[in-house]
Amino acid sequence: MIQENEIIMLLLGIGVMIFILANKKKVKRIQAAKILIAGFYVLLTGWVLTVLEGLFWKELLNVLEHICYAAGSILMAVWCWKIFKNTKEPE
Amino acid sequence: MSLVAIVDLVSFLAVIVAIIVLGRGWNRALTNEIRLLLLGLLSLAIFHHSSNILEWGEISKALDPFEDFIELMEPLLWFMLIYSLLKELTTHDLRKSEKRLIESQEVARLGQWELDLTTKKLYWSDGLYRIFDINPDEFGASYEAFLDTVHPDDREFVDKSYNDSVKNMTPYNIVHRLLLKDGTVKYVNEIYHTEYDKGGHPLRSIGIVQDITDIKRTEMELADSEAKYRSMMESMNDPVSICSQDYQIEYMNPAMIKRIGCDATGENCFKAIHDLEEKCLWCMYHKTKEGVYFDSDIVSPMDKRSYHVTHSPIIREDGAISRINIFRDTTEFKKMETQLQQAQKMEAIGTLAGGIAHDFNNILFPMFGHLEMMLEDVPEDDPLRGNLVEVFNGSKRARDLVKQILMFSRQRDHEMKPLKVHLIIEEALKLIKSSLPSTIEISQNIKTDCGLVMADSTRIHQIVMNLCTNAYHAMEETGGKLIINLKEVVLTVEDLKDPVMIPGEYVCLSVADTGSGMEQSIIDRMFDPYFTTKAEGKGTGLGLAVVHGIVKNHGGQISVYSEPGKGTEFKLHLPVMEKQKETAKVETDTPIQKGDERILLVDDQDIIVQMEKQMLERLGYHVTAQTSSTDALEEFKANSDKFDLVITDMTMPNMTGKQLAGEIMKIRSDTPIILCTGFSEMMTKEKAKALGIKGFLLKPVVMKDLSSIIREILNNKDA
Repeated sequence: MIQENEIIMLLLGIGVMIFILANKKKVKRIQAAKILIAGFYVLLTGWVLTVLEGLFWKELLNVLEHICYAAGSILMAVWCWKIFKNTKEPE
Repeated sequence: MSLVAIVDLVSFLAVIVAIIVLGRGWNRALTNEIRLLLLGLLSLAIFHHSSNILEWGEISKALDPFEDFIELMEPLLWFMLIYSLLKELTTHDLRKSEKRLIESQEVARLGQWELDLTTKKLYWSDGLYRIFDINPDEFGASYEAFLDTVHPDDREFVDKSYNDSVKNMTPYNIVHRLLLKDGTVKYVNEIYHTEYDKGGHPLRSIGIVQDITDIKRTEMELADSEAKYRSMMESMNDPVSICSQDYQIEYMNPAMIKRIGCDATGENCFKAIHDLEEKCLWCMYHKTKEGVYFDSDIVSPMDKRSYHVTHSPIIREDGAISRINIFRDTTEFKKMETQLQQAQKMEAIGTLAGGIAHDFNNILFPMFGHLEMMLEDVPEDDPLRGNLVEVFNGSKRARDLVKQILMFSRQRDHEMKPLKVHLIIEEALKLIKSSLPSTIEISQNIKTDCGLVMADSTRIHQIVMNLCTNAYHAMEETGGKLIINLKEVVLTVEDLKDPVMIPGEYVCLSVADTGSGMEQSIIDRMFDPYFTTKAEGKGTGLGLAVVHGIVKNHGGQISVYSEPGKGTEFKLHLPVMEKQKETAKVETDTPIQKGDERILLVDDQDIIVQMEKQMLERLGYHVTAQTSSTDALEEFKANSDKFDLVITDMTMPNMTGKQLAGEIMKIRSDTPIILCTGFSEMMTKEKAKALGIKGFLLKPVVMKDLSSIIREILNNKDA
């Protein structure tokens, strides 16, 4: 069964994706942008799977959804590490 | 435990790690806003994963009501995070760009200002404060405060320029000076314009200021350098020109302009400088193109003067090569060179004449002596006597000729002494007569009673020779009459040309000819050095110039009268000496004097020794003759008290007369010595006197002169 808030979350996520794609060139200049954006896309995939699990293969898609959240969390941790560990203390 | 539970646990731990990393490096990166957003996003993730774990463990469902809110917030926070990151990027770019601008302004020494004309507020950039060396806290930030920083001498100009700019609605670009607090003067270039509203009222002025002190200093140094080199060029007496590779004159200095009479910049060099229709034959421009310096000696067809020209390349920035030509006028130098060569030739002739004179006098001397003795021996009524007298007179003429040759070749010392000018003139005429062709008749009227003139005999001789030679050249082709007159005249003030000259008695020498005569234009220039109308090789153009110089040096004057086709007359006036000086020079005719003293006679030529011995013995003296100076010295050493007088020749082998005299005087210092010479450059009467030699005789010597000098010396010794 598809829940209304999941649909809204997905739509908001797609909106963010469109924003990212619209500012693709500029986004690329963000430090360690690939990791950050990869993290977002993995989470977005999780949100897609959340919606889809209401329609079919509930068990499988649920597992995949949680795996996506885990991957997203790991990528966020890596990005934080890249940003805050590799940068010198400001003067 | 299910797979989902493990995955959620991993997710939870990953977010925890992320939060720890963020917390530890909180101040290391990004802005506070972004860090808070990131923390919010991670917190939502913690909340989300915690809710999943609690749900999975069936521990609690307390967080379930918030799940919908969390799920909606998560994409929103993602959006805000990425948006903030992009905004930070833009801000960072802006800061970087601003930093670059400031750095560029610093490098270019630029500053910027803005004056709000409604509020009168003035904004200055940091760069401007640096240029003006003012602390922003101390600056009044007003237009008046700005004017105070301008150099007092430029203040009015700056103020007027700005007001004109505002009034005329035109942008301005001015250069002025600043006077800094420490007294330093800076040059700035200020460019500004004003913005107006629709009604034409000024709103604000904006401008930039550039510190151009270094540029200005370089410009001033360049200007100084340019002025220095220009003044060098313009003060040069040598004409200078700079020509392009297509033979166009690019520059001429004043000396060159003076030489050609106008500034011919832009014209062809060969036409303007040398009056040629084509490139000069001697032009070596291809050498200049190769960057080679070269020089040449030319005679310019324009003024027929000789020049030594140096050509140097000037390589311009665009690669074009011009040529600088420096002309040194060598005309006078060349003439002097010719004159020197002539002088050297005359000197060589003089040396030759001296040598000939010496030998010739030695030949004449025994002839003279023997003839004199023969004339004494031969009775008055003997038919041979007449022949002997003629031979004797001929010998005298030969002696005089040698004397004249010596005088002509200037081997005699030049000295001013009281002279009977007629004697010198007669002597010169004897010489000139022998060289004139029979087509020229000589008429002379020489008054012998003219007063004494303080003069150099050689110079007077030279005057007569030069004037007579000129007269001869004027009559060379047609023949004619040469008239020489000498008389004493009285000149009044009206007669004198030179105001320095004093009216009184003058000796007047006139040399006239019936030759070709002269035009007035020639008369005007005839005393100019090197001016001549004669063919090459016949005259140097110095003859009349020398005559003029000599007459002036003797305090006299020279005048000329000439008519073309009729002839020319030169009149020279030389001042007569005062009477008291004249009396000092009256000579007396003394008879031959005899004696009986002992004389040591030395001459390397046996024939002369024999003749002289005979002559002296006739005069009553006891003579010991020697043909070797060293033997004579030995003789004197052995019997120094035996001799009352020594007569020695000058030029002898082994020991000269001068050396012999020295040695003799070392042995007996009071020994009177007479030095007798044919001619020697090394010995003169004055030099001999300085060495302590009592008498000096020039061969050939006549018996009367010999007897006279011997008696004079011996009588003085006895006295």
